Amino acid sequence: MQVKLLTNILKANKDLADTNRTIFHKAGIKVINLISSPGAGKTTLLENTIENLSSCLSLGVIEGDLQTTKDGERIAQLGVPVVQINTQGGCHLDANMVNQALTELPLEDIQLLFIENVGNLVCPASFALGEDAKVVITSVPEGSDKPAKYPIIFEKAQICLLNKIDLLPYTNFNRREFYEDLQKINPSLTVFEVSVLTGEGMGAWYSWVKKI
Amino acid sequence: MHELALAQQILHIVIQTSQEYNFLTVSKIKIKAGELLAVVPEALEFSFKIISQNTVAENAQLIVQQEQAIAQCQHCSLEYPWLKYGYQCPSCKKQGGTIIRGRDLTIDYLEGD
Repeated sequence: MQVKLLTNILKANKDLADTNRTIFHKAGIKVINLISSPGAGKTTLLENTIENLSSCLSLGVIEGDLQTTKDGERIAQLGVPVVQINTQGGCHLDANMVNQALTELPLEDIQLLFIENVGNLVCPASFALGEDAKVVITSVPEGSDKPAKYPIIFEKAQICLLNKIDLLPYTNFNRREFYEDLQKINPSLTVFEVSVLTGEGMGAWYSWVKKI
Repeated sequence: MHELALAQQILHIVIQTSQEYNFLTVSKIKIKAGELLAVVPEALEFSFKIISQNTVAENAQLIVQQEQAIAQCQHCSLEYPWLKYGYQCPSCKKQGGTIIRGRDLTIDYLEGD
């Protein structure tokens, strides 16, 4: 016997993401989902952003990694409430993991929550968490072809940070190709060119974060 | 490797549906996978085979049909492959197309007894 279903497989995740969104909305919290490949600079970006903005915004962080609490410890040193999720091999955070992590955060004290997703440019794009914006970070040494190769996350993101621009003179990163591909994939994407390490270009990023 | 997570969601829905229809075995499951989800059919089939062991779906054939991401031009209404042309219409060259297909991952049907 054949049963016609037409069931959306990601519906369970989407429903939970909506639940999270309602919780965030009620608590007056804005949420940013940070997505990049491993080593693009997510955690360092977070550290610098916290140092710069914690005087004017109360921040919170959810850290996602396959294993270890290394990143969570780095963030905790800055005096910000942080929950570390270990996905035990899972390649992305899902709405359920975030929902459970919320019980460990002092939501009433947080205005802006950063969720650092597992380092991966593919899977996190498909799983909504209840965020206000997805921010994709890519870095110069990864090459200018990343938007063309992994278009889905660039299509879904509101902001793209191009990190490690201090390394531009030492690579064959092709800016023209990078922007042409992005224009094709997501014409409304805002790009900030930054070096998290030297601080170059970070002002525009901080201004955007403050306004979200 | 989000295929494993997707396979778990599929199995969950398949088991629920089997209980509703009193199926003892599920023989076939048809999946439609939108291009924007970047699903690798072989990886999804393999993941499903592993996790469906000792369930009603352990001998089920999982068929994954890829669905091309299609955008539609807002000016001339042409439908065209998004991955190739993005938001610029290949015919009238205007920007601003919208994606109309290829974002979803659905179970089309399942067969069981």
